[in-house]
Amino acid sequence: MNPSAGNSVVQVNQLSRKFGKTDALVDVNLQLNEGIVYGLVGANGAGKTTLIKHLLGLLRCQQGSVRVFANDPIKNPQAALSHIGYLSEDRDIPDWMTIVEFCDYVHAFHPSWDSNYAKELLNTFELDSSKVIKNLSRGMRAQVALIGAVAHKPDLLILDEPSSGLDAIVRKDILNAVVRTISEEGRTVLFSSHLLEEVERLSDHVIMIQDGRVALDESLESLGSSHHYTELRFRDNLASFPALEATISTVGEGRSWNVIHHCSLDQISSSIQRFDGEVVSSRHATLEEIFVARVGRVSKPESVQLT
Amino acid sequence: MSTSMNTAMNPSRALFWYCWQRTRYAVALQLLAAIGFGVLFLVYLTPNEGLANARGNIVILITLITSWLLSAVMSATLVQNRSLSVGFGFPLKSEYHYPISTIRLVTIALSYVVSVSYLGFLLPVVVLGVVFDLPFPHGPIHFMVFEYLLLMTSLSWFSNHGPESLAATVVIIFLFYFELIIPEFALEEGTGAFLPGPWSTTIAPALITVASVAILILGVHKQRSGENLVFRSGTSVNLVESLSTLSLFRFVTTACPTKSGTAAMIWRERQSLGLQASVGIGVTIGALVVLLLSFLQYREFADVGQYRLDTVSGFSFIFYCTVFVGVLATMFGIDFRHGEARVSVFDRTLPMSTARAVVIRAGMAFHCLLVAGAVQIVTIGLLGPLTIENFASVRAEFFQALQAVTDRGFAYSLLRAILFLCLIYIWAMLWAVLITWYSMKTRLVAWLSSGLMIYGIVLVTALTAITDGGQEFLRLSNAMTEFHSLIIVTAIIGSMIYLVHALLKDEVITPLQVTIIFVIGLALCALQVIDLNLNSDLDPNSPMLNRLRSQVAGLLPLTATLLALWTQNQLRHR
Repeated sequence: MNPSAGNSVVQVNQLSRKFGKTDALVDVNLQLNEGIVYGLVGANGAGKTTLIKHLLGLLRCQQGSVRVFANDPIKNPQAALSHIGYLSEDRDIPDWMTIVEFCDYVHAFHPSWDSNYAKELLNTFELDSSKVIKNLSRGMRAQVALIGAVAHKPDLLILDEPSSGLDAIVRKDILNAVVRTISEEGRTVLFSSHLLEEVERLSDHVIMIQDGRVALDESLESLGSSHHYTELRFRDNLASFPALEATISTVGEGRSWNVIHHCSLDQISSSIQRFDGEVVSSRHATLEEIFVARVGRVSKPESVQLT
Repeated sequence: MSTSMNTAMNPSRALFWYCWQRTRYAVALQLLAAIGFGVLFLVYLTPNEGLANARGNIVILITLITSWLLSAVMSATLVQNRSLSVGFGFPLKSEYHYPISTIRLVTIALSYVVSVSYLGFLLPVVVLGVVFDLPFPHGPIHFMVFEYLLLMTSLSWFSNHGPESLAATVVIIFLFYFELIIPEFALEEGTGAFLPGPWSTTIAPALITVASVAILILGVHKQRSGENLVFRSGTSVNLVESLSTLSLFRFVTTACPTKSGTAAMIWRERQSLGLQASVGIGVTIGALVVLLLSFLQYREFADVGQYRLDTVSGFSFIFYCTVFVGVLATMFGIDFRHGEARVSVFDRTLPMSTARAVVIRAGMAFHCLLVAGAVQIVTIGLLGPLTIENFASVRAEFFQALQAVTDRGFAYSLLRAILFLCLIYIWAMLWAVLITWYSMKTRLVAWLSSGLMIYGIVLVTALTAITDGGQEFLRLSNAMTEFHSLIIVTAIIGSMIYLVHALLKDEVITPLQVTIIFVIGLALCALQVIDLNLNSDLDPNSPMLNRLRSQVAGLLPLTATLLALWTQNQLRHR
């Protein structure tokens, strides 16, 4: 379940959090390892930002524990945060500063600040460093915030919806390059995104949160090989799809059904033989299909043991 | 009014409902505050019932002030996105895209704010008048209140363009100067009763008010399409932002140091609260005090040549309080976005210890308050003689008061100076904490404050009813004071134990730092006790609990420090 590469940089144990009567996180267990790019996905309100806030010490654990580089981010925020670069969803940076003042300001807190890299990014983004942040467009502001988060080459880069506010070119090329640079240097990246295609492109490992619980914590590689999109045909019309344990979602009617399952093709094939069904075609499911299957409000049949 | 989704509301009702939902707590709090202050004033400060008219006037004044505050608070509360334009411009901006006419939109918002603010004046006056048998205000005072509310609300709403709002303010001051806004009135000698002038003097103010409402409608119509009333669009300036210390006094910019986080944080705080800003604030408020005093003298509201130190210091204090609140409001790093108070995530994720951040922020705020205060006094001293006729006597009075302290020797002067600084420190910390929690947990703090206010009102009313005044009232009142002294002493000591425990648990401060804070805190407490003894303030005949309260008050600098650390920690880690 946990990625094996490198040392653990973040350890979350049985973390639970409630807001009023609503469960925001329920018994979350996670381990983030060195040198891996993690994509954090989930529907709106699933608990992604709440989880990130716990890693940053912005929220106190009601139950369970969080350790970032072996530090409790509540008891020792300085030690934990000195390893982290964080880009918040709302690009929350002091807008009265000029860009150069902002860079200097963040530099002061991070001795590892790479001025050349910051300049390089400023040039890439074509930003005028003498400009006051509040006069920048939303996209430019996002770019400045991104520089602040990455230029000190953090051991752990946390990006909360990094694509929000970035135009298509920046999103595809720059973000890709930034994330890759960080991870290739053996650093860890955790980014949350609604853009599943982007997660699929950038991440090595996917963590899917659903209703505050970790629904999936798997490397992209094994996710691709374990989840299949299969087209089935039955001899007779079916009023409803038979309940099979490894089936995540089903769409269809009558004799033709499409299923997403996380078992081997042989297993599903032998299971449906009992219902006079056969496999028409099968391929690896995309992340988007897996996400919709797991998070979508599709009614799931009661499970039965696979034969 | 039902909040059910099934209940169809017409646009007017929907807007009223929205305004009420957004402002009801502010309204309730202000009404209670007006009544509470009125009761306290009438019971404790004016025991002489012979001056019913004068007392009635004071009640009117108190309720007027709260009513005006109420209109300002309501305007601010109605603004959905405060980061766009804090308190200026029409507040219901998010309603611009609804299919509703500008006249209707403006009329509903204006009539809501004005009528509820007027209620904030009328209700306390009636309640206090009935309970304390005071004369009910009549005649043009009601017209004046309505007119003021309409005029001021129109002035602050008609444009969100800084220079336009500023120009309108200048015009209003000009009209006020020529007595075109306030109808004639006088105060009867001896009783201080309010004597309204003839109704004919209300014609000009009424016309100006009607014109201001028309300008408001026109201004909002322009705002709806992103334009300004006079100036070309595209030059919109947020007046509050442009008047903020950051923009006004940031004329010497230095590069941010990159060697250490502490230095960078100090640099950052210096941009808004550093020497140049503090001096700028001090000069500005000092000049404003002198200007106001000169204006009052010129308009003969104050007798020429009769100013005394207490009048000058009173005005200075009021102006200083506004700075006090302004500087402290953001001490723990809160700001407003999308109508909600918040602490920036950027600040919360800076790798810096919470305690260090508090020390830097509190230190800069304290420095700013001291420098601004000192510069304000110097400014008044320099500008006063130019425009105030008897300023020499005021100055002489000031130096006499100063000499009364210095004549008692260096050690005593030093003691008083330290205790004075402690007093400012305590007030600063407690205000900062209160403002912060009020901004973050408005509803909770409003409920708590209302509860306290109601408790005070019920207590005083009950005491008055039980004892029917006189010695019996005094005896019971003293007993209650003793009881409250016990609560205060317990609260101070209890809160210290809780705060230390919470701070150590989260490792905000180390046991060594706790020891150092306690040593300094206890030393200051000892100085307080010495001062009480030197001034014979610990009357052995006064109740033991009251004496204990005075001595335990010496622990307040310590408590305030712990409270500040705890508050910052709570804001950082929810």
